[in-house]
Amino acid sequence: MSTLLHHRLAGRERLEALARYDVDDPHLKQQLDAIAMRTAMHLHMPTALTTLVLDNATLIAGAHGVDGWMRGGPGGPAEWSFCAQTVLTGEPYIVTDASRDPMQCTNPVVELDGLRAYAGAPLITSSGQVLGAHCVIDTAPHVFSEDEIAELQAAATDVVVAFEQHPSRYSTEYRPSFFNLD
Amino acid sequence: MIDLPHPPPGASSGPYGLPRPDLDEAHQALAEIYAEITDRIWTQILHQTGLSGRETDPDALDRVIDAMKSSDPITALCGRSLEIRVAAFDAIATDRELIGSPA
Repeated sequence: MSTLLHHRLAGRERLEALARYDVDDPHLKQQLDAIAMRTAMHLHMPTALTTLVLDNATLIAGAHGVDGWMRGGPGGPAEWSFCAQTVLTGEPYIVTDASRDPMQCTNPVVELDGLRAYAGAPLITSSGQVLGAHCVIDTAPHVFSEDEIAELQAAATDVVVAFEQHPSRYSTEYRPSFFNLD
Repeated sequence: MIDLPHPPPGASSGPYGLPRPDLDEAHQALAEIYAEITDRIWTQILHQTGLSGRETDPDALDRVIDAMKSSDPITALCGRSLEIRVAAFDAIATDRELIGSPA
């Protein structure tokens, strides 16, 4: 993958923040799926997701209406990820029609999966780390209103709360065992 | 606006610029995170998997990914990333085989 992109996503502090949550907790998944369903309904979009942007890939942590997307996989490479853009800027990232967007039109998610519209809000922890994004996608172009973006950002806040309710066993005083090998 | 790279189809060794991850990519992924202590971590993973680090077969990468996923939480996330990239490569390669694309 792009070394520059990997370098920007592989920051230790951000990865440590990601490691503080138990992303495999089925109760968390249930909560994230429910938030995604609510977001999709409120924004009248077929698909909503919560993604965690790892060091060089995006992991789908919760979703609604995602069947058939990403070939049913657990996520995708970071360089194909619209959510990586959201993480890198720490701001909502909006694409009205990806087929006409010079940066995204050759993205396989656009060419193969048919994604056209995307709006993502960053998942920002209380310590300021951006974990991933809460987003909606559609196969038809869509102009997002300010109210829709505000709704998405509010849902992203709910997503962060859900993560914080599910800390991993590494959430406090984490220190990799490799530091103690001397 | 940050310009994420989306190489055009066929621009590099894999579909949509995505080569199948290998042990070098796994090593480089760890180096981005761990910098000067990477070699110590990599040596431990190789020791754990019984590999030399020069293997090129998919099974060797699978073993390294498994070792990473059972390691400390940051290395585990890194292993998970590699696993996702392998799954994406395999899915797209399969798609291309099904439609007979040469790319």
